[in-house]
Amino acid sequence: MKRRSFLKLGASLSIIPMLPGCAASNAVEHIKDGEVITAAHWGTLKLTVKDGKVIKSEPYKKRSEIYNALQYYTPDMIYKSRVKYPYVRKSYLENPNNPKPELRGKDEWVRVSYEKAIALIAEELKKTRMAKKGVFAGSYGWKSSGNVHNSVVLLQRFMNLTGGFVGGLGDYSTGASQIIMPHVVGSLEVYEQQTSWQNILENSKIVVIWGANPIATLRISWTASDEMGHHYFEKLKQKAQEGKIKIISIDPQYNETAEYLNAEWIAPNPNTDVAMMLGMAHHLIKKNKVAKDFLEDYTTGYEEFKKYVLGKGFDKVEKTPKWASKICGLDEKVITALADRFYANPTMLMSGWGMQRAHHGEQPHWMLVTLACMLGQIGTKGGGFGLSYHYSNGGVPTCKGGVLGGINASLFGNWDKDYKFLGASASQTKDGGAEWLSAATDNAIPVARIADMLQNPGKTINHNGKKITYEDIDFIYWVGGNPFCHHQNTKNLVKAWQKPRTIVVNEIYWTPTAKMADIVMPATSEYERDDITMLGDYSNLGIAPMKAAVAAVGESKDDYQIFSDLALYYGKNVYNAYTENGKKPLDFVKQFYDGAKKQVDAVDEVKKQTGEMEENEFSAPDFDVFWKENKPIYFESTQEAEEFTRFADFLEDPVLEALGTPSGLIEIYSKTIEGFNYEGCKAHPAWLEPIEYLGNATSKAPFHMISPHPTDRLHSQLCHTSLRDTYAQSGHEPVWINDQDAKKLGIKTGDLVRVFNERGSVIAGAFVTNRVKKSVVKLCEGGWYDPDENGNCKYGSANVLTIDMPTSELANGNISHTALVNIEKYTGTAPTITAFSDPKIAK
Amino acid sequence: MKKYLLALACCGFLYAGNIQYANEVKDVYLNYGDKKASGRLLPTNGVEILEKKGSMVKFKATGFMQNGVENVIYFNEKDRILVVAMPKKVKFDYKVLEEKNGVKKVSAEFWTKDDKFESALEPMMSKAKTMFAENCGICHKLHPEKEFNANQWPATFKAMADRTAIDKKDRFLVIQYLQKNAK
Repeated sequence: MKRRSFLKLGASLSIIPMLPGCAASNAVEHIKDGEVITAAHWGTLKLTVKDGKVIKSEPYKKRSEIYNALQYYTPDMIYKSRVKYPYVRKSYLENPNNPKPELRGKDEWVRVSYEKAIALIAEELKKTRMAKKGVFAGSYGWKSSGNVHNSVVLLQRFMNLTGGFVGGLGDYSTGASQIIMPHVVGSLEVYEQQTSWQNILENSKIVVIWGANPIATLRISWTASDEMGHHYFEKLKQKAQEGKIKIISIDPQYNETAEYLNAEWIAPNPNTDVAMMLGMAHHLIKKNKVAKDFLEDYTTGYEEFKKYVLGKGFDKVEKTPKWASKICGLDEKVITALADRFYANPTMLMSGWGMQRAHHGEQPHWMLVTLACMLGQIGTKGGGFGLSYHYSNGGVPTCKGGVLGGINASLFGNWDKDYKFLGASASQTKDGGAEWLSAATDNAIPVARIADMLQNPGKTINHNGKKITYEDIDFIYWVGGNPFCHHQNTKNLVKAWQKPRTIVVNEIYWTPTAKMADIVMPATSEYERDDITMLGDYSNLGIAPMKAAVAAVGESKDDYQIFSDLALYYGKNVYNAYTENGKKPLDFVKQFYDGAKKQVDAVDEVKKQTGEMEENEFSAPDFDVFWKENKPIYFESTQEAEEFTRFADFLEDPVLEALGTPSGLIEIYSKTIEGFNYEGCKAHPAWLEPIEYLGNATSKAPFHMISPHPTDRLHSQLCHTSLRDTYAQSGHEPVWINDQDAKKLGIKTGDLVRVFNERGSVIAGAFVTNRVKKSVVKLCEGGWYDPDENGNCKYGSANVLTIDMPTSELANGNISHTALVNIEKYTGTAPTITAFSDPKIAK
Repeated sequence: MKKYLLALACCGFLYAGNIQYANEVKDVYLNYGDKKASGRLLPTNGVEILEKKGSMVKFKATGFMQNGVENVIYFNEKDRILVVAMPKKVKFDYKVLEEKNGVKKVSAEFWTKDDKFESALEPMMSKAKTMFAENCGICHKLHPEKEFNANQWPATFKAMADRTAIDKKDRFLVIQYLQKNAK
């Protein structure tokens, strides 16, 4: 990595003191003509402003030649499909006590004043709480970047302060893996720093990209992308071209990454990776190619697993390569050859998360870790496994500098039985007369069980060794998320969504979820408010200012403003607690920056002592300078970080660096899970047949649909922009169909097709290709749900077709990649797509 | 031994029963005057200060040795909560106070610098709690302390620590807080 270019304080640079009382983003003067540097999930951006409007968006500093389409559509993110005013659904406004929830998504909307909307939300929330009904504010979603205007946390801060809420556990991305991995390797694994790219490039001989598409998914990051992942994939490509590293893509589709790297393509049937890996394990055992020392020193339970592989386990089936071949659709020789090559070469198994968003999704990563243990390369510089190379630029070495704090939700309100505010405390107490409120605050649910919870109040489910009883939810508040795109079996969600009396959504755009609410509050986009963000989730590469580029569109307000005003409705003391006595957004920006600067200064101090830095150099200027300069600051990685090898410390000293498992070792067999006695998750990794896959397909639904993360969106974000025009087929979400299948069906690229099963149907645009395996179709998730009168989707939202059931009782993750569908040429009149236009507004 | 008794006689009056708690990870020396530290004392564990000499203090740590591991003193019989940790090759003297099911309750004496000690545990724990609450609920909902057990917390916390503004020197303080309030 290049040494950072130090920002030097020139004499001409004047320092403008921040004027008290002018901190609110809506009150600041915006640049009329010029450039604003900001950052988004998709990287650091340079925006061109003309006459107070953003007219152009481009990357601020390119880190690689790999194109990131998401960086060019900021004007659409500001001006298209906006919710400009507060709206209330007509029936709800007429009578909130009998709001006709079945008309959600169908009723007209009535524009109301901001003050009226605030009063309505506050009163109805209070009414719900007084009636001891449940309030759901799990509010899952990717929101916008920024450590102040973190809409989900702002909502939960408000909810904690005003009586609590039912929250969500886990997430949709890694629902199964983040629960199973702590049992196996002692921590989350999916969100942890990976063996450095430097180590991979120097030491790996084979890089396997297993069910992942990093060239696509590294376009985005949870904070703001450092854009360095693409840089290292460029280097990987170079190594491959020099013949130094062999790259294998295991995936039912030949994705952008495989294409970019010219990778060898192995295409198993969807959802059958565990069988494939078991076949490999069997081969390794039979050929005595097993790292016995590693298994002995660092794992527990291998012998039990071995018995299972050899046909002496619970199902008495021997997991021969032949057995595996029948299930995964690969030739036996492909399976055994892969195992031999992995054993003979330093091999890094980079796995994506798609394989665990499937029925029994706890198994694939457990099995992958077990396979890696048998290969014995975990903790070496070029081998082992990694579950985060495709996400937020894992493997990019961590820099030493400062880390920003952020707004938090750790402020709990105490209320008496008449809903009088008694004060706030840093921890949740049940004293002070607030006990009745806590009824609505317990029992967080695994996020993907939302429809099940709404439909079955009082039901008790198993979850990772615990029991969870569903609350009776009567009020939902959602911000920064879009469940009508990310949740499985959309039509069932539509029904479940009719259960609560009140649904409030803060939204920037008229998303499918906003359209399904009772009250919609217009939220500013990140380009209309002052904020700050880290660059890089793992790398901590720098800090980027996110200065408001333009004034708020319409009557949209910052989420912080909306929740502050709701707090104020309940009383000045509630407002003071929420806002820490009236802090404006820019006060928080400064506070978080100053906290990070302190850490940077400490690092610089050490550097000055060791002569690495000149006395007058500094890497983090004072806040006012940083804000005025409007440029990111960057940090450097350390040698230690560049040499980081995941699990190396554990290998070095398994006593002091014990893993977080009960044994402190990698658990191939888990006594904890054995004790749960779950049908859907045994005590060691196992092949458990999915509810729907090609192995049990019928003529009614002969195709397996995979619904991976889209290349040209962040889930459903950006779907409404004109970027859609570059990938849509005849205006619809593209569905990839194998060329031989398409020929049989008489379908060609650009045709409208109906993709359907017993759960619903969508109209999509065909993309015929040999880059997807026969009998497999790909329809990316995140297309905006555009319901017709029957709730089927006119645009092509994949989740209309997916199954809403848990991976198993262990993790309760979603199973979005487990779905059989049928497909046919659509011969009716082309539907009018309304997903991106405003709903009916009453005159 | 004589010297030890003498020291105890001189300082016993001053220090006996003087329980102190490290507020950061502290270097531990086997002998007075050792140039190189042998191991570490972890924060929030109460140790008895036996003697002060120059800038150093001698202290007694009490805890448990589990499963035949003799280079670590743990906080309790079953969890991997570290009190004093030494690398594998370092041997130190210890006194067995009790033995049950292969777990020994032991005490051992070491030297450390006379700094970063506090006499009250509560303020230290509440500082740790605040750091946890203010930093660990920004990207996701704050996980309750009771969600994970004492063996799970160190790895779980370490996995995320680089994303937080928690200072490196305070990380083991937060880990110990989490372990001691775990499931």
